[in-house]
Amino acid sequence: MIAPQPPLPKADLPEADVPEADVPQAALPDGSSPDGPVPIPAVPQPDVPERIVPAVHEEAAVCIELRRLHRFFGDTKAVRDISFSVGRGQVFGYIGPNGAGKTTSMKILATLDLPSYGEAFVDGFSVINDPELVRHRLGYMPDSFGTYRDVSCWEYLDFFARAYGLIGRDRIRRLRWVLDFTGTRGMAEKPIRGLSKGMKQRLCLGRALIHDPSVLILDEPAAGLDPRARIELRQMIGDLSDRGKTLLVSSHILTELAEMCHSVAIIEQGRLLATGSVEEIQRERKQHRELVFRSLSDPAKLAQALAQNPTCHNVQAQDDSVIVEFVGEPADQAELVRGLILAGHPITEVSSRLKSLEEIFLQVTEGRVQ
Amino acid sequence: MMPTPNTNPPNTNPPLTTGLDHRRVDAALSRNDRASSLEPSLEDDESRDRTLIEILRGGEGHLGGEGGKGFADPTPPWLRQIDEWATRLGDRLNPILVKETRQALKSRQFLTTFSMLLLAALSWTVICSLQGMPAIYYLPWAPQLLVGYYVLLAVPMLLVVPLAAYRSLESEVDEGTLELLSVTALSPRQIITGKLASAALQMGLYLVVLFPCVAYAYTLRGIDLPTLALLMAGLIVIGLGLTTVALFFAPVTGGRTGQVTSLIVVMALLLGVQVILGREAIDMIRFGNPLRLQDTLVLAGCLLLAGGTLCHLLLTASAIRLTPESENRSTAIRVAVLIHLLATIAAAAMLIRWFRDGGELVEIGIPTLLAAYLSVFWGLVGSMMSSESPVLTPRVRRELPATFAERMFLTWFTPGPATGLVFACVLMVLSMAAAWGMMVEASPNGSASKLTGPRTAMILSCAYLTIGFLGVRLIISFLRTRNTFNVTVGIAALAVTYMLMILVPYGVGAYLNDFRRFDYSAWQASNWIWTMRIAAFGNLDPKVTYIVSGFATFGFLVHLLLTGPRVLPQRWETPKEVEEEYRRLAGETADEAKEIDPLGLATEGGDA
Repeated sequence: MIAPQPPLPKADLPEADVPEADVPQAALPDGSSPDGPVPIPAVPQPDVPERIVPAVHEEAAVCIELRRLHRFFGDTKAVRDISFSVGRGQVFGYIGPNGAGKTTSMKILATLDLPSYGEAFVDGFSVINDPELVRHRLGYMPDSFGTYRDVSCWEYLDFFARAYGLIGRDRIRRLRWVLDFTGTRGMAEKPIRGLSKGMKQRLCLGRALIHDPSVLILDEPAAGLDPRARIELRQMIGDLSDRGKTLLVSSHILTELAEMCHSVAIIEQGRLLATGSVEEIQRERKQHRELVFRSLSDPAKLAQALAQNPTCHNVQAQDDSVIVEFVGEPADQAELVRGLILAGHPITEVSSRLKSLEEIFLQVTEGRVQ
Repeated sequence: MMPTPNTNPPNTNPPLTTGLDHRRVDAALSRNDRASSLEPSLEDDESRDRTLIEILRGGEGHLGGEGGKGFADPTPPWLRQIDEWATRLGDRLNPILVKETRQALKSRQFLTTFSMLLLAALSWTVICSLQGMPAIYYLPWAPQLLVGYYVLLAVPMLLVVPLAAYRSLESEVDEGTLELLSVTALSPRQIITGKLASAALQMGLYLVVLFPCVAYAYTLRGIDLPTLALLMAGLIVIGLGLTTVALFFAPVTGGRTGQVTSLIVVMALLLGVQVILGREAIDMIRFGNPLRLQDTLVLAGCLLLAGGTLCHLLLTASAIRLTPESENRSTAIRVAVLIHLLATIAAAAMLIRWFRDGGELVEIGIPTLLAAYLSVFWGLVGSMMSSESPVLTPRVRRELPATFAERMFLTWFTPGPATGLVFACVLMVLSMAAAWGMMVEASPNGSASKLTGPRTAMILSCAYLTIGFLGVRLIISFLRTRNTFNVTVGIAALAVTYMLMILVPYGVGAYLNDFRRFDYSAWQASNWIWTMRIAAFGNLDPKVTYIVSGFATFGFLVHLLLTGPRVLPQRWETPKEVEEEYRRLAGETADEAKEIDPLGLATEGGDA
């Protein structure tokens, strides 16, 4: 007797964690049993609307998807209601302070941990219900580099190639490609223990790539690398993205993430604070744009005029320029400049600058840790 | 907020482009191609690949290198063919075995142990031979030599190798490499069996070192070939058994304290076995085997049957520890338990039948020993089964029995505390009944229905265990409302239940008797220690036996009625996309198997 999977009647969450107003658009997990998708204790159940869940999600453009992911360790809520999705071939930055829940959610995606509630999909397959299918298409690079004693780089990669089921010519071709791609060919016979941090990271990336996965999860890949190694890593990540791989990258080096990521997610204390491209986050959060005006006349007069405009804040007159924080759309900005010129201010230069990812991060997060 | 879908093409196997100096590789390959025109066997792709490996591994000189004189591989073609077959067969080996062997053969521990063993064996041979001069020419001198060889061999086989396997698995957990293995296609069972196979290989190497010495000792007379073979086989089998136990303990505990504790337990166990077995083995070497060859073979076969299935159970449990919670972790264990149970009962029955002239030692001793073992075994296994998580993940539900016949016979193998309790109770009663039957069969003048001391103890242990499992179920279901924990907590819950069963009636009795000594009465029926003690001496009132067993039966039936709907869970449909993907993967694997199968052994649809 085979029955179709029933819908999830209620979420298995403590009262304090009833999903908040902005419930994500994604449906509830496919693999939810009447008692919850994974074995967690029967705790008081809040009201969550019933929905029929699809077996696997069907959006071909979405490669990674987290749906209302929760992970509790006793009283510690490492991940709380995180939902986002990553399009195929994108590089997605995962940003947050230490202890924010990045590694926990990445481990869930890598099938190494189970969520207390919620679901995660890779290429449409549930990480809870079909981990084998997920592992087949996923490369994972943890923040720590697991090494073996008395093993050379070649043997290390060869072992993982075998472990992924690569055999015969396929394995040799793949090993050859990985050594080429990561530039570790010269290190093939050297013992891993003697490698530099940068070379270990390359090898680690090579290991994650050995079975040619379509999705890569890289946890702090640039940690502890020198500038050159970081640049090379960035190039490799860009190269992989060009080859159609989807990458989820966590890092503390935000300038680098801003350069290589199509979009980012910022989390703190297990909660998702913002997600989207840097511009989208700025727009959503009504981020201030910094405008610098240079004029032939007295900057004080210009500053006075700008201060009267409701879109301008924190007007500061300096030697020959005026710096303001501007809130508004590009059209408003054009209108402001037009108005100033019509008012007779001899403006010679207007430059604007979006806030960097670092500044956004500082503004969005509060620096709290659990 | 959904990121804009990227329009990049879907993932494809990337071409070889970046990074390295391909010119050098290509040049070397073209040199090889030129050379291979003289060597037809090198024209195929695989030879090119092997050549490439050599190049990548810095072995260009082997091919002639820069300024070399062309390809001059003197290896005859038949040898290359064998090499090729060996390579292809190597592809089918457990990757953990390949990795562990590579590691072990380069490790300082192996090299030190190997050289020390070699040196010590040679030294012992010379010293013992010289010491025995000139008696060595006319007196049997093998036992003296063999005692030394046994001691030398037992240290690596029974101590070093099991500890190395323990440490190997523990370090996988410690150093985070287990996580890396977990995301590969390797199953937990492959990880565990790979470690065991590597240990077996090392044992084989150690044995090979001593083989010439043992052969030399045999020529000096004083020991027969069967005893010698038994000694060596016993060493290997017990070494493998101890390795299994060590692997079982390795991933059991987390945290530094747990690791130290389990290491101490393993060390104590290994040393204990070393001492006990050493004494027996030395006695056997010096005084010969006290049993006839047939008796020895039967005894060894029975012990191997029971011990082998116990090792299988321990290996399954170790693998289960590494399996994610979302998967079915119960069925494999229950099957292993059933196999072990059948094997143990069969072994005990065989021993009773074969050694029927052994008197009471066999007639009463073996069934009693079996019953005692079953009580302890079921106490541990049943309490853990009764404390399984009641939640069936969708993944588990997809694999539940679907047809009527499957549900009739396989429901008790499905995960969950309710099915676990029923499985444990039913099999426990059946296995105890088997022990009872053996006792009745072996006893020359005993009737089947007579309640002798050991028989009453058997009934009572079944009843107390059933009550204990029900207590575990109650405690665990209460605890699980707020916590998650693994099934080993069930053992603690059983201990708590048993403590309460002793303390409550005894406390009440003591209070009612003004804390003076008082005699046993039916009110102390739940005090299992006291009741079993009285029963063992045959002084127990049969009423108490009926009360306890009746209470256990009633509790079991109530549990069965209350959990009826839960023990018949419906199977859930596997999503079509998932089924298709699994089919696709299975097809790929079968193709790969065919591709690498050197002897044409691969069958259609078989996995690699």
